[in-house]
Amino acid sequence: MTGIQLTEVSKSYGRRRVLDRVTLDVGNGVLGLLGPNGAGKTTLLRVLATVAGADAGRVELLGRDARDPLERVAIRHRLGYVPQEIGFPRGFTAFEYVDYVGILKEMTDRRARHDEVRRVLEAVGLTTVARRRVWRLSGGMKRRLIIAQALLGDPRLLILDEPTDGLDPEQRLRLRDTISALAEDRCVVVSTHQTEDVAAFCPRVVVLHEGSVRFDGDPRLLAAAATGRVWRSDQRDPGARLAWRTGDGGVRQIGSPPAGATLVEPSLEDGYLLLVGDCARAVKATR
Amino acid sequence: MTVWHAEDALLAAYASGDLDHARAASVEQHLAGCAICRTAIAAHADAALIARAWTDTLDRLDQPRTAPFERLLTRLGLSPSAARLATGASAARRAWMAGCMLVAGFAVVARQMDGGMALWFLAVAPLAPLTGVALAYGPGVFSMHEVVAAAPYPRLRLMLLRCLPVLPMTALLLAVGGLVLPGTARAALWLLPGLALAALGLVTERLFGIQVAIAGLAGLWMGGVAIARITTGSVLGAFSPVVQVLSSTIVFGIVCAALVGARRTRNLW
Amino acid sequence: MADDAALIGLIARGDQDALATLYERHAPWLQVRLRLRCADDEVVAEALQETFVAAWRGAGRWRGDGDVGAWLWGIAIRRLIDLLAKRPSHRPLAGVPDPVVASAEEQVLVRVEYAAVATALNRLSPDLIAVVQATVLDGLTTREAARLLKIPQGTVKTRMARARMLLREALS
Repeated sequence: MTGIQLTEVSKSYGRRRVLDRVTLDVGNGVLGLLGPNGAGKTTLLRVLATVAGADAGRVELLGRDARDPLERVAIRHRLGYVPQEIGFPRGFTAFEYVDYVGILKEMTDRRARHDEVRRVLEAVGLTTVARRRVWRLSGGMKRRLIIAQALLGDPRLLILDEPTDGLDPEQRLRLRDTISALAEDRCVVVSTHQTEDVAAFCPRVVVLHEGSVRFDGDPRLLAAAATGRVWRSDQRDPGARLAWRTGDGGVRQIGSPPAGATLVEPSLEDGYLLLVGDCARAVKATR
Repeated sequence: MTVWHAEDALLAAYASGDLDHARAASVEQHLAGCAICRTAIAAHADAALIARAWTDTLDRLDQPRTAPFERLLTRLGLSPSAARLATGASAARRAWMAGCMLVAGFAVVARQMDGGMALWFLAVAPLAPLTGVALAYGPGVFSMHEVVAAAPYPRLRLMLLRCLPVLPMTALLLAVGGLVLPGTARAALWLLPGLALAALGLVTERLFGIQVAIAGLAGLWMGGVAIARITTGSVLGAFSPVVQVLSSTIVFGIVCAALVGARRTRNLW
Repeated sequence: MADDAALIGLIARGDQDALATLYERHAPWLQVRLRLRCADDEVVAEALQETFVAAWRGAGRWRGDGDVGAWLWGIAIRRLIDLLAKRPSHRPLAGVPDPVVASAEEQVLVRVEYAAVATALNRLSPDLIAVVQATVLDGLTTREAARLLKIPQGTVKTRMARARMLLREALS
């Protein structure tokens, strides 16, 4: 039973096409999803979380057809979802919140559900604040609470929309560790703005731009694509595609070699920026 | 204080109940004041029982606090988890109750003043169930929408459960209406339009978001009342048989559509 | 390590780790002591659980005077009484009685084998021992002792008076 199989999936909101013939085949492991704002990442994840339906194409999750209502319920039983927008009913404690989601996940046995709630709170390190009101939790704690609810019931498919957002470096590290451990025997899709996240724990990365897949593969290959196009110099070159000051006083530039620049080893970020920049130019050229 | 501590053999004998009364009593007396011996006796305690009692303790502490209405629903036969869904998240319920009390109070006051004012109660009352539904979704609850949408819990059932807290308040308004308006039949006039507005609110919420849906429907209704007053000369025009029939058609249609949708997923309850 | 009183303070502020520490420290001896008064492990476990639930909820009301251990025991024995009262089949255990001497002398009792008291105590009938245990050692009121032993309050009083007399006779 494979995790995710998308075939030619498209979706539009009004006249705007948000997903354009996306085809993906994902098994166990972590898949990192990168893309600029408005690239369709969240829409893709909402389709994967069965929250949004596709207009066209085939969505198969955990070997089941997500368009069939019955199958969809079966998928949801084995799905964990961390949405981008997080909200909590007022007055709930952390425990009550996760317990509430547990009820929605149809865990009817109260005792077993409570044990499970304690387990997931422990997994994200929130045991000590379990009885605190949600509104009194810090931003990072709220993030982890949302992740805790996604872990309820040991889902086989985990859809995480920017889970590392708002976490401090240490929490981020711990979360990467948790996700990597989970991904050993299940399918995890993580969207992020952070190329370091992808470099750190995603063996596979998909870059989405304007609703279609522009890259799908090993993050090292994405970085390698920028080989020979990343330079370091003292002065900003007006001809450079992208240029930014680095902490050491130099200028890192992507594009044709500026005068007096030295070629440097490309990072994943370079590869990603180059790819997205190329895509944007290609889109402009066709218009 | 004391430097004396009970030997292990003595503690063992005490724990297994083998000491005579006097010695057992003095061991207990000693334990009451000696932390070291209290730690030492752990070796003779029932570790499994203690561990089990600890998880039970945690479980008791984790019991979500239940509101009176939630307990009432459980007593009426709803499963505890369903009662939780019905009431747990509607944090704005208090605001809604206050609102209904206000409408009811307004109605009573209106009756004191003159009969025409009482009719205005009739005009406002249909908005009450709609507001209740809106608040049942609440700002916090509504922001949970994404998580709820990805959960397998049957949608229709959840929706009905969430609207459950609206019922007692609606009943209260009906009772107050009966007191205020001449003739009990008149008091019930608002019920069907009220239900229709609530049902429309639930449907349009998906399209426009809850705030827009509620505000729009409330505006439409009040506009309708105003037009009825101008054209027929009375607020009662907004409750004409035509409106009643239209309302019941809307309620019936939406309920049927929901049932058919749920039936298709074979996931009604 | 925080002392017990500090732990209660932390618990009052909702610190679950503090409760865990308190449990670790006190649950074992409470369990042993409860077990000597009730043979039913289920009831003991329930009493233990209710004791710490009550401690969690009541920590804010703890006045800070006296011994935390004694406070916990006071809760535990009363929970046990309540639980046993719900079970009509229960036969109270004739357990451990109290030596009816001031607690400062207790250490002496253990060490020197205060023979006269011990002998006198051990000679009391089980009925009298049960009353002495409940009222003196467990610190129950006459009414609570009566509930625990399932006898009328008057009987508790007369048995207690009789036990006192017998002990005084033995010691004089």
